[in-house]
Amino acid sequence: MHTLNGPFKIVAKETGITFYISIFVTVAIFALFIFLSSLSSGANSVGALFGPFYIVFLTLPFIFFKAYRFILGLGGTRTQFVLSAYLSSILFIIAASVVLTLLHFIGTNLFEDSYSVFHMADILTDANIFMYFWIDFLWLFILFGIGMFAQVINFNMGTMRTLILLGLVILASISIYFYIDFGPLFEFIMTDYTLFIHILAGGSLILLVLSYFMMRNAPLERGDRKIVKPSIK
Amino acid sequence: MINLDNVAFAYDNKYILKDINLIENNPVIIGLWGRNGSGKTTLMKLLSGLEHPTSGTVHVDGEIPYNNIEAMNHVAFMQEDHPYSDLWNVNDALNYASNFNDKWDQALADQLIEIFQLPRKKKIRKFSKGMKTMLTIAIGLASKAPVTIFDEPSNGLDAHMRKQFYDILLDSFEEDPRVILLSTHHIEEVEPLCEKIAIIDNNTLLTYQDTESLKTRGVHLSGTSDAVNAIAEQYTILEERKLGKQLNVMIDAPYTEALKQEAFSHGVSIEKAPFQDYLVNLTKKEAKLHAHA
Repeated sequence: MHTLNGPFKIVAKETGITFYISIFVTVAIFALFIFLSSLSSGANSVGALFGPFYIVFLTLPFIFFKAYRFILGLGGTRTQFVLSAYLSSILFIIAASVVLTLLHFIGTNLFEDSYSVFHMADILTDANIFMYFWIDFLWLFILFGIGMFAQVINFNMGTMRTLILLGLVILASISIYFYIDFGPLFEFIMTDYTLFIHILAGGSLILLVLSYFMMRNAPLERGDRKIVKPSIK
Repeated sequence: MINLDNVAFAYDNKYILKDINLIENNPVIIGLWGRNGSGKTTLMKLLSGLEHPTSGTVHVDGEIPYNNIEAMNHVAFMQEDHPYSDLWNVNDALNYASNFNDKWDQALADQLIEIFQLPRKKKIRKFSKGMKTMLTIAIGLASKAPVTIFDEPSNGLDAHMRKQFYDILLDSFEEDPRVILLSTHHIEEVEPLCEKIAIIDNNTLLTYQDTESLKTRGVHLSGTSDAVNAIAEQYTILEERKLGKQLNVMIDAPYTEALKQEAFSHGVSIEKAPFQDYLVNLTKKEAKLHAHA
């Protein structure tokens, strides 16, 4: 028996329903977009398919964190929880990328010019089917990393301290927006899109590593992490 | 099997447990008694590896339990309000639990689910407190972990189920001797099962000894103040009540033939105090004041 068997099954059970619902919603949107594309004669993009999956993977850690208590309650460790959460999420990301790529290629091949649904790999001029899959994978991975880090901060620090931190980040972002010229950044994104999302994915990987280390000795209850060790009476 | 060496645990800036030393190398059923907030649950969390001691070392079946994947096969901690997912039914819970224990006994788990008449496909979130407790008991016993810990295992069980649980626990222990730790507020319920009793008080382990020797302690004396005081002054007075010239005290002493003779010779009536009353008084703050006076 592998030690990740139990924890993996528990995390997969918690996230499975959300994942299957998002597949169903994506397929339903796909059907709707085909219908809308046929009406708009393919001149303008009618929308994007990735919306549900992108939202789900950003919020997935908030869903599977319930499994933390169940895993620890059955004798598992914090490390097992994090590793099984990463493993199941990566498998779901692969499956979601396959679904998005397949639907896109079904749309473009069956309906050809009348199919006008935007894909994140459309920015690339010479993308092949693998690149479509890879771009989806990277974006889902980036969003998952951000969501995981946010939830780990929220779990360790509690809602109040997380909101204070979020407020500071928003203030800093607004300040940066007014004082920094984003022109070169947008130019870089458009000219070297592949490099840009690989850099973002690298950043997401760093967030996942940081999340692992923060969860390795995480408190039992949300918000119980002490930043400064108090003197003991 | 259990080795706690000078263990302390602090939360915020306060000790929840300190100076805990306990060694148990034999399979035994242990009763863990303490008042609310005494640190019982924290001790169980330390033993099961849910918490890390602030100082000292915890070993369970030779393993340090905290964050130790290997330790999950050595210790099972079934909490009072054990966490189960809203999505799980009994079959899910048993299936997942079996993945966490090398020694998992599926036949025993099935047998216990039959005995407790738990519906296998009904969501656990729809169970009553008693049904959840029964499921928790079934998982704990079927885990066959060398150290199995139950926090208030009889809470929510009716008298019939409680008796069934005690019978099953003893059968399971006989078949597979291991350390079983039962925490409780009502010692008289589990005392017949327990070979040893650990008492937590004032954030530390007050005593850990054989149930039989601990049960002999706690004696009520009543009579005239002078006569009662003549005997009681040799012991720690745990409780004292005056009714006119009559004095009734509970002393911390073994209920022995010699003490009975002494009481008769002073014209004092003597009787054994109920075990629960003795423990309650032993852990009352006033008792400590008497002891220090």
